[in-house]
Amino acid sequence: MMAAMRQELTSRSVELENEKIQTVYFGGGTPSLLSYEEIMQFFEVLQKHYNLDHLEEITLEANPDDFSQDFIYAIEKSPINRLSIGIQSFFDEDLAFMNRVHSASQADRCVKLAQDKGIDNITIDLIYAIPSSNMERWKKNVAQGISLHVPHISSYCMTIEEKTTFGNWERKGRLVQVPDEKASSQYLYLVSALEDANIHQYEISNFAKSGFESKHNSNYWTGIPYLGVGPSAHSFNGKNSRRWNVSNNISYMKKMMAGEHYHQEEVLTPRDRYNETIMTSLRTKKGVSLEYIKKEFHLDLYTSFQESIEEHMRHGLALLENKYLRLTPQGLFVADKIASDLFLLEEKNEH
Amino acid sequence: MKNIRNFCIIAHIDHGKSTLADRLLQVTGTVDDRKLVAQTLDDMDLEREKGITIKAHAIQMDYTYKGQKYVLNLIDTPGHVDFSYEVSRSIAACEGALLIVDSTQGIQAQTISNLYLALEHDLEIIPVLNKLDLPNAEPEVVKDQIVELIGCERDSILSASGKTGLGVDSILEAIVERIPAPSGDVDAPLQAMIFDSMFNSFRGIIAYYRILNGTLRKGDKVKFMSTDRTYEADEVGVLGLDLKPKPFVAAGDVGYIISGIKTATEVKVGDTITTVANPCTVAVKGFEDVKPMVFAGLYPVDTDEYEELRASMEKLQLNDASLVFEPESSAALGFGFRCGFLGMLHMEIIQERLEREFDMTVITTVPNVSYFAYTTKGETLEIHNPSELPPPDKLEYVEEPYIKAQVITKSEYVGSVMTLCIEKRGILTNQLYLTSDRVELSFEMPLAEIVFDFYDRLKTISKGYASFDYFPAGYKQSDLVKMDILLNGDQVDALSALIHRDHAFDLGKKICLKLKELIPRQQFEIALQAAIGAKIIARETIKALRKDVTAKCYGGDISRKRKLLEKQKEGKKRMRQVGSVEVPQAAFLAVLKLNS
Ligand SMILES: Nc1nc2c(ncn2[C@@H]2O[C@H](COP(=O)(O)OP(=O)(O)O)[C@@H](O)[C@H]2O)c(=O)[nH]1
Repeated sequence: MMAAMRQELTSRSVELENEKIQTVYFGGGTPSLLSYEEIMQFFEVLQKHYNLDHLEEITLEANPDDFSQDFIYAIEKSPINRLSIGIQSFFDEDLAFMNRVHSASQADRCVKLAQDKGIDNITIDLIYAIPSSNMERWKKNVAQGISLHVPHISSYCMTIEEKTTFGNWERKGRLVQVPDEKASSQYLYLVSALEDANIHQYEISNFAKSGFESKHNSNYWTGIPYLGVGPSAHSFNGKNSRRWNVSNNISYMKKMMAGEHYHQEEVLTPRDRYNETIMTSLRTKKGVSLEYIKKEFHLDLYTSFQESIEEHMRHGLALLENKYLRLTPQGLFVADKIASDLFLLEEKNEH
Repeated sequence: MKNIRNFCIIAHIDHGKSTLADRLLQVTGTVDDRKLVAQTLDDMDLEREKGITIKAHAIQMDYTYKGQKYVLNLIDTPGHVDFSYEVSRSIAACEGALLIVDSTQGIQAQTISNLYLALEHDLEIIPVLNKLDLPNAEPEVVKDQIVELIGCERDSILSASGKTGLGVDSILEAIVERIPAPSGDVDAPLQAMIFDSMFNSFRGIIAYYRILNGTLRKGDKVKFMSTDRTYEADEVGVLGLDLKPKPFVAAGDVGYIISGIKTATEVKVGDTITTVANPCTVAVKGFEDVKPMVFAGLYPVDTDEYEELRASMEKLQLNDASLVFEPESSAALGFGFRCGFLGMLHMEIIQERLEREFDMTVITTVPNVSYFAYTTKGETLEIHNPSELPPPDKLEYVEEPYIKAQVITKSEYVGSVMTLCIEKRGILTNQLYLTSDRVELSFEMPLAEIVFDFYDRLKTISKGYASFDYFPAGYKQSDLVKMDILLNGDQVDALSALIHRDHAFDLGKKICLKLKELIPRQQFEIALQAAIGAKIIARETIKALRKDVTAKCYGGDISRKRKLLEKQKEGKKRMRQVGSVEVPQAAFLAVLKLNS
């Protein structure tokens, strides 16, 4: 697998020929299982084929039960300068409910282990609206997260999708989703508690101390090109093409090695790009730039959707400030609905 | 005339009518094998898919038997309750009928009522057991049923298989031997009964008729007696696989006439054609101006498409005279049409044809039957729309249409069928064991009740082993009330319904619950109420939307997410605004789906 991914990285370097790489992210699956040597092999390929002069943020995803001697050694010595730790909860009941292998005490310890080695740029994941939990425990989770003095926190609402274990449980009545009202109050609590701790919301699920916003994540929302390597990885050329690799590990490797097509591609029309811009930027604290929309898509967002925008403003969900349309914390929690209201269904006629 | 045989086929859907008819055409050389489309008699796509012959046709076959040439006219009959009047006219045009019964299924309700019609018209019945090639055929059991039902000799029942061709010759022989030749006087004044018509975009309306007396010649000046309109017979002829023009068609035979008629409504099934020069004195018995039984509002999904919808409906009406419509408007739905249909299937067919043939998607409102309202001033009003009902203080009483209904089912389902029919305000009038495990139940019940989720439930409770048939049985006074639905206090006119007072609380509750399921949460709370006059009888609340966002939206999520939201927006376009509330299309038919 590693060889296949290195091969992909090598063969696709032309796609980012003129780009200066800003961020690298080892994610999806369990990159924390990589040995120091394996991590370094990737960097060798990167160094050889890409322009890393402006490389700033190199993140690796890890789970709390990954923090072995070897692992800590690997991140200490490698160029990795940011850790994303999937803590999820500091309570064993929640972790057991979510089928996590790590324990609450590991969750507690791992951050300190990293910090002891001088790795301070850490982000942790916390999950709210867990059916087994409640507001009281959520408050404790948030407090615990803050007490670790990490500069970045991502927090996701638990979603139960069909065709997953949880989806099945829900269908069989083994699990009842947390009602939207409760999920919403846990979310609003999170926003204000973190704000009090000087950790600011900069996207619906992302919070950071000033200057620690994840560049990597933010780039997904600003139309900067990215190249994803490995099974089911997505790439975007910054203009109008998005591609994604086959998701099956075996067929990815086989196709890669055999030199066969291992990806699919989608070409985005101006309408698609407009809709994506709306969708992703409405999720950010900054919001949608009316000027950018005008320049890029020749559309006056406010007059085109006046009725709907005003209604959202009336309900305290949206604000218009400094030529940006942005959502309030409440608005962010219904961002999908608001985004789809502002979508275009037909291609705009350019004349 | 003595060598003509006119016959129709009585069969339940899927018992093999079309397959066997094709065999007859094949053996008589009417079509050659290569040209044989799967089912020659059903030539509308929709019919073929539904397995229902919506519009009757006729076809003529030449057949030589014992050295004599015979002309056999097969008149097709539509196979659904909605079209029972058309069936009765087709039957009236024949002297005999093939009763085709699937030997694995036995006799169904539909078959029985058509059989009774045929017996009333003195038709010679030739029973045919079909699908004998199937291993699970039960010929003896089904023969028992047939003997019991029509009292025929056991050995007069023919055995056949449309699939293998078994028995086709004996059927043809029986048609000649058993069905009487038509009687009539070729020299008498013309008396021809229309049993069907067709719209042809080049030639206008083609009327199909059976001549009882007299002769119709090309060029004759003819008169349609019910409308009293006169036309010139531009072309007359008989019906092969295509139209076969002839200089004349005479008593006993079946034929067509083309006379420049442009609108289907001028050609009424059951009407009598005679000549202007030598008119007959009496019309053929049994003519009825068929009246629509079920009414519903049809609205364009896109409000701009009103004129387009009108044009499409006008075109549909050209070959479906039973469709009637007039403009109406609704506060919730805008401009549309109130349409009358022969029944629920007819309504479905129209909806589907609009979609397929004209690419028009429509919003249909809750259908209702036609009522008579008697006012305190002594007027009688015919009501086709709940909103037309006079206010309670001006209303003396209301009458609603009743039907006589027959259900044939297996004995194990009798209990649940009875429960359903009684719940639907039905009264059991007869219970008859056709065999030890097949029962015919007869009910009298309000027509309105079969409009509301009756078929689906009948099907469910009988696991599909129930067939249903009905015919109108006049009007009866009923304790009906108009139930309104309010969204945040705004009345949704398209959701009003006339219902029986005893059902009001229950229905009101169910409708509110269903709407709660169908109307998406919005940025504010929505109060759903059911009301009779000023009295609220049920209430539900749709809470405000608090959460609608996906937690993660990184590289791999963006496309999928975008497409999902685009779909949502697309769906929203189809919603209607009631006050400030957006209501999806499906909500307007919620009342019909209360139990699913
Ligand atoms: N095995 C068998 N199948 C038959 C026979 N006749 C018709 N079918 C099948 O039964 C189904 C219904 O036949 P069709 O002629 O369309 O019935 P209709 O609805 O009465 O016109 C079709 O799938 C036919 O292929 C037969 O004699 N034997």
